[in-house]
Amino acid sequence: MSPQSTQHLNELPAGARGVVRHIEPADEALHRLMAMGLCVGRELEVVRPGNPLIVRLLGARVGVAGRLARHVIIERHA
Amino acid sequence: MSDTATCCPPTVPLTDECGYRIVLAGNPNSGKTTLFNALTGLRAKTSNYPGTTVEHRQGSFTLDQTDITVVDLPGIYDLKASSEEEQVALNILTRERFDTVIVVADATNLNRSLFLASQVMEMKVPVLLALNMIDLAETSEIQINVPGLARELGCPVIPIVARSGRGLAELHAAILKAKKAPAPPRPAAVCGTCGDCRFQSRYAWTDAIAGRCVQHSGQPIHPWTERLDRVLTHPVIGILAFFAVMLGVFFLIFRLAHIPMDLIDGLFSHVGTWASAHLPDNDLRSLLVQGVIGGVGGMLVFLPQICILFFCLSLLEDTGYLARAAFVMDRLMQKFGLPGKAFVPLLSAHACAIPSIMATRVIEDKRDRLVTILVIPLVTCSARIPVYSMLAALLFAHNAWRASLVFTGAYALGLTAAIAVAFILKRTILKGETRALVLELPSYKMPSLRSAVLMMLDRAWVFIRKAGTVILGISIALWVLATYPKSAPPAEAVALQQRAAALPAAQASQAAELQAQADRLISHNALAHSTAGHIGRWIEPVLRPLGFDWQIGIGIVSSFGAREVIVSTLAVIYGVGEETARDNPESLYDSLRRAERSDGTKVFTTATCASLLVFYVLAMQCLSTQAITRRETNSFKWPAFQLAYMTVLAYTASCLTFQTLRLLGIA
Repeated sequence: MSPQSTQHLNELPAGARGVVRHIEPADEALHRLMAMGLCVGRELEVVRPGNPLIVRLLGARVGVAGRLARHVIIERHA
Repeated sequence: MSDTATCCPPTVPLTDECGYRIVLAGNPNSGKTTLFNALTGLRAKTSNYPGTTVEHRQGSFTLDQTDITVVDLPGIYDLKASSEEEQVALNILTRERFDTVIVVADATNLNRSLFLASQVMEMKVPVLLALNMIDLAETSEIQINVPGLARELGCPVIPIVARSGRGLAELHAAILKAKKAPAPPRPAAVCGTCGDCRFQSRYAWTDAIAGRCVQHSGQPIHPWTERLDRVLTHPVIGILAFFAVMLGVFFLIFRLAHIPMDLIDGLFSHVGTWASAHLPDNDLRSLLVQGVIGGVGGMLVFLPQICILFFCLSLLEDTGYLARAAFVMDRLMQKFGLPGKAFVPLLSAHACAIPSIMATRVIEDKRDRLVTILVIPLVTCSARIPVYSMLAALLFAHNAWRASLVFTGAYALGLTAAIAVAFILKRTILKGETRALVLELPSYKMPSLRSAVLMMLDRAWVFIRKAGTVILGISIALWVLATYPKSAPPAEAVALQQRAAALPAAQASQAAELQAQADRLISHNALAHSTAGHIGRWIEPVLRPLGFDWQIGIGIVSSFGAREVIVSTLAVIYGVGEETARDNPESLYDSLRRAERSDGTKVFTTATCASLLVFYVLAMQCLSTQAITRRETNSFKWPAFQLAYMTVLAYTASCLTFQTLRLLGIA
């Protein structure tokens, strides 16, 4: 995996899709996010960037605080 | 443990006398509550789960001559006890007696619903899967192989539409079938061996099942949601839209609530007048009229606002809109140490603190919720309006422009104080990082009127039950303070009464006038010499730095339970009479303006009025709110703290106001 292809979730533009590669252990709120389907190996799409941002996970839209999104590393699809 | 568990321990075979117990489990927004309402309707009870502030709902219905109890678990995504809701859900599933769990799954998002379903199945309990919103799945061209899914999961799967009632008959049949022949619970873990990430392996399992049982044409599931969200979650337009929505809610509250409020007010004063006319003139009558009827009426008058607010909030929640409101407000609110979800309760507090405190249940983090509850009573509620009106009229008589500035200033002071105190609390006694936003934005849908009505009735009932008893007790106590010890009517009043009696029948109206004057003197005298009067005098040294005399002290003491009472107390103290003040407020304002101390100086100077205004913006002075804080925090400590900090804050701020104005020469 080349370093250019991974980005933090909070840096992705609208419409970007990718696979979750790594989640830095941090907030307990991340736990909830994982239960909602944001865990390593799963696909997601950024619907609205910003803080908070909106991602599409498993067909549901989820609002996520920017400070949580910083801990999520995404490998973008071309 | 519930009482059914004691009536029928798990080792005893289940009989119909014990009834049949069902637990509903599901994600938030899966339509679990709609199904609960569809199953049980009005036969539902809401309480706190013992030892927590998590809402616990239980209802019942009859099926084939068996009473079936339904327990609604909190909406959760995971069963690992990482939040209080999950802990409660886990407690019920592991420790309480029940016969079947119905897992409510969202048919348009089966994959995620199966995540929780698999965890429930692993608890080795009989499971029924209710595949909710199947209509939406059909219109979005999602095809679910129901028999295939039932085979894969090893449990019955029933497609339903909880909102319209479709599939409920089949669900009932499945419940009966499970009751007659309980399905053996699944023995082993459903997702196989778990890898380094329990979420990952479990989702791999749900993916596999969904892949085999669900076919989707690729048509977007909620095209409307996407379009609406482009506007409603926009960082600028979204906030404007939110304020427009809340403006509409407030319009409804202030426009509609006053009709039933006036009715309740009128009804209770009618009952009071009737009782006065038909009961012998003694203490019991006074207790009934002023203590009981007045107290109950003063509490019930809040009901219309509570009902309208909860009806509106329930509709907004049901459409999916409230999640957007929390989303757009989150960034701003985080700056003050509160989550976005705290904003709707804070804003609703402008109508009434009671429903707003009840509405803080949406806030997940315990500390965030507690801080919000503690600061809500600082926000100007509608009960303060009569007090503001009186003081604005005293400060700026016949100048509507300046009087409205007084109002604006008071509202701004209340909201600013609330935000500032929240900020301080989050950095001191309730220290902790504000919960970062993780919030599902569900698809927009038509709200359920039935759910909104049930929610409204439920909250109204909680209010009557919890606030009613406390308020009745306190209003009787306040009546005792204002009535005893009794004093003889003053000589002046006796003379007036004698003059009235001596007048010939032709001058009846003049006699009535004299009699009324005598009555006002008597009630003034009785109040001045009562315990409340003594307390007023006793606390006068404490109140003097605020610019208040003992008569205002009586007003503060008597309005301890409900702040708006100060207006009628001042009317009695300054000899206007309660009824005159109600029908013609200007007469009260005029006599307050003329009121003088024994040394001939005016009582209601600009500095005193401003100080009293600040006091009533910031002081607690509402027992209904305290009773609800007690219920919602499940402790006496927090309502006591709320009362203490608000009193100190109000006292200090009033003192500063009065002393500053005095130093500036504005007396």
